[in-house]
Amino acid sequence: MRFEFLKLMKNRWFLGVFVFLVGLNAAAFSSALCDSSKGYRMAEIRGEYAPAEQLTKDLSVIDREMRSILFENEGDLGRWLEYQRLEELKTEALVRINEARNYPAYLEGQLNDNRIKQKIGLFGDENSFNVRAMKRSYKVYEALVGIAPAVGFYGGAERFFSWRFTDILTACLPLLVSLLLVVTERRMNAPLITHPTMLGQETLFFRKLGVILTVSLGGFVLLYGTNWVLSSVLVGNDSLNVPVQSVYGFINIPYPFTVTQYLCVFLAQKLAWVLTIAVVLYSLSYVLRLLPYLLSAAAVSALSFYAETSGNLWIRSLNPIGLGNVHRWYNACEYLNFFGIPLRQLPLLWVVMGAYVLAGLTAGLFGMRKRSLSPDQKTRTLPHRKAGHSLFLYEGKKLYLLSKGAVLTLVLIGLQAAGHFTYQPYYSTTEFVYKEYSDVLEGPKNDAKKAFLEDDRKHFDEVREELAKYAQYGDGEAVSLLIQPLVNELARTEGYEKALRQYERLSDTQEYVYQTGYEALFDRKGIRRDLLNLIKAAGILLIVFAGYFTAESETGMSIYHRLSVHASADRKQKLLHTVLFVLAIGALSFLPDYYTVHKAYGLPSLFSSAGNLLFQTFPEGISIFGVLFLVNCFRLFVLSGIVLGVFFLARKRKKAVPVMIAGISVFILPLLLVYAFL
Amino acid sequence: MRLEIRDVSKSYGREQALNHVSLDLTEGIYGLLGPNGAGKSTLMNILVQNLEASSGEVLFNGKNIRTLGKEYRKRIGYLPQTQIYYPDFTGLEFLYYMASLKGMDKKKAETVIREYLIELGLWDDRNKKLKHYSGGMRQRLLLIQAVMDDPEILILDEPTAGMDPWQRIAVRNLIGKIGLDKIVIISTHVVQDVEQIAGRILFLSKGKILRDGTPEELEAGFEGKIRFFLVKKENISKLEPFGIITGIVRKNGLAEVRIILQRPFPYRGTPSAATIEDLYLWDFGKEPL
Repeated sequence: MRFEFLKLMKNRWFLGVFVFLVGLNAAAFSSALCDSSKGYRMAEIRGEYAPAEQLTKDLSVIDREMRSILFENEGDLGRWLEYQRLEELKTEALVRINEARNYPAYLEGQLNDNRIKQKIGLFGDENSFNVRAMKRSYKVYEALVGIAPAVGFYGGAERFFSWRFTDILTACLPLLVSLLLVVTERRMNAPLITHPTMLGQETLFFRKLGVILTVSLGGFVLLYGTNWVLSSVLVGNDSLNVPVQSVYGFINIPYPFTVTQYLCVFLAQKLAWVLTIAVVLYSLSYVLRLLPYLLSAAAVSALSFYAETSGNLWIRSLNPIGLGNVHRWYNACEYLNFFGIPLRQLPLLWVVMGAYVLAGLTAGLFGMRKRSLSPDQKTRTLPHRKAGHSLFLYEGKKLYLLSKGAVLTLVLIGLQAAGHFTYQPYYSTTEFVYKEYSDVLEGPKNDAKKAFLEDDRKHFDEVREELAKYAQYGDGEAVSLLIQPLVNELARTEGYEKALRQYERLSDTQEYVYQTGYEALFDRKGIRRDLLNLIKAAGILLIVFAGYFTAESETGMSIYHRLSVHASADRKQKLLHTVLFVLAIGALSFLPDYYTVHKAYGLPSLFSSAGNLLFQTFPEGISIFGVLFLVNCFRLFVLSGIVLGVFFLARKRKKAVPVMIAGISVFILPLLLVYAFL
Repeated sequence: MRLEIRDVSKSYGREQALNHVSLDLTEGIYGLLGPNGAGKSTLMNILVQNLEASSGEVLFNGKNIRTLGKEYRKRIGYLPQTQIYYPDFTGLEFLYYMASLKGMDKKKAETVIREYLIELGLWDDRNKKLKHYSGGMRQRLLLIQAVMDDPEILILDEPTAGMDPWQRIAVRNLIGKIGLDKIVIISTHVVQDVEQIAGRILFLSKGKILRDGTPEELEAGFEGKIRFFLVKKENISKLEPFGIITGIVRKNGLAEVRIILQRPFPYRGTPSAATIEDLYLWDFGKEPL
């Protein structure tokens, strides 16, 4: 194992990426711990801890003060905001204290609930899965009677246990080491020389696995250790030798652990998960080539992300990434339906992890033999084609075929098509009516539109009056039938009012524009979609250009390129292909979203002033199309920056795999972090 | 010690790389000759278990090498055709790494590595990173890894590639010494290397054994086919249809042409002794380059 470690230790980039991951984790977690977007930091809640009665009194005093500022000292906004902040802080503290104090009542409620459900027979007979599962969970919760959570502040633990970005970074380590010790070595044909040695097969396989597990363990200790220290220092905890149910939000934990014990259990299971992922990633690296390896790792991560939100407990329990969500598994007492037999989920997770390890090792050993036994000697005869003399075509072949640009473009098209067909627009009555009014109000303000709105306002008033007349007849069935059309008509008022408010807000220079489509592009969900598209585009550009920019140095062709009289022409062709590919990927990544939103809601008045959109402040002098154009220019600028970064990394590293590793760390992980927090 | 190759075939899709090859090898040096794509590297990779034969089997002392596994692998040393190395390892680290993979104990490895590094002139460069080694230095280092655990079967694919004449001789002598009591299989395009040290030479063409014998046996069957002719420069091309020209030297204002005659020629010329290279050219000379 010493020499396998030596390979890593001698790789400055590996060390650099390792340090970067540790730094990124510390920076991300610290910023989450010190987050003050609510107006205060979590650590400040601790200072507000006091007896619940005292806090209740304080809150009513604050409420009085705020009211007096609002109604008597109008204008003293500063003081009012300070009181508001204090009110929120004290409320947070009170909620936490009450949760701990009310635990016995909460537990009793749960048990009663369970008993009632069992008795009413709504969930099946005595032998049904549901009733048996309820009986078992009853026993589990019954064992908790007598536990008295302590009233204290455990914000550090609370954040530590629910923080998951570190999981991604920890999983990156075995991926990184597998890329270096397995994929890179295979690309340089090292198995050809190691495989025939006495210990060059299974023994070497397990030695490398040992290194990967050790690095994963080291990374785990360092990353989670940093998190624990940061959460303890920046947020803090009271004594940890209290029931874990004392921690805010941990009330559902069906185990009689102390916080310290829960920490040990949590770390043990998290470590088991990290090592399982390490074994699986390592084994996969023996089975798959570089590109399928990276793509399948990305695909499994993406699928796992969706599987975690699945309502099916089996899917959630088998989800390899979801297995790392330890806090979730401990925060409930759930049973899986195994042919009618209730299986406790938690022990099953260990079985699932064991199965992943076994399956991974079997596949890995099989892949090790198969791949090592088949050095790149296979020849494939391509159909005869006339050899051309065009640098443009050869550079295109390098980019689209050798560096897999074509395949990945197809993958992107598939992803975008899937995104388009799974997009779910939100149509409510309000939206429907708002759209109807918008069709009429579209364009500049005028008297006719004003009169139209006024007429409809009168109409709605009349409907209300008529409806009021029916009130004297009670709410019998006949009356309900009679008033239904009126109620339906009144349901349109929200859509009307939305259109009316927008119309009234327009200045004389502004025009009415139906805004829902544009809102869908620029709201939080829209920005998240944008970011996801950016991540997809960046990932593809990284993979393709890591190969394309290192094609010459990796193959040794660079010497011929330097000597070629057409070196400069070749560089121009490379640049041209790069620009075209970035444009194509940029267009495929971002433009389908416009089409999707346009199809769902429509994007009318595209060439009218952006100032007509009232949900955000856009400059007046530019059209909506101009804004969208500039936004896309910015996106292309970002993508170009990433490609430029890959270019410089490729010049420095000269090999595709290290460039990919560095690129993932520098470009993809920070984007994922932003995506996770947005 | 006996290595038997029994009816071994290997195909890659429709392409037949080895076609029912059978050989019986005991201690000695075997030269494997053939043009590119003849199946030499495929055969070697099957012998070192880097490849699995499509059919047939390889037996070591009567036992299938697949079932022998580690027991077989600890007896082989292999130098592949391509230079494989870890660029950030020093020469010494690389050798210790390979020694650990071969299961050598550290003390023995230390002594052997030192001896070989000195013998092949790499001792002074032992702490340099491999990425700073020249091609010839790397080739010698790779040869050391192949021989350092005193393997009973040594398989060398182009062992002298990239070496200068002195280094080639040093390597040749080293292989010659090892071949006294081991099975050594060398594949090379430098026919002279094989001619000097191989006890038995195998010609491989399109996956089949074309010739098999000692250099003397092979050369004996070739007598009378090599001739020298003194001709004017403008007449050299007239000789070409009659055979393969293997040398042209200026002599007394004329050209002395050495030719392997493949067709009857009206003039006798001066006879010359045949070499393995002549046989090679005879068998493969007309194949496209």
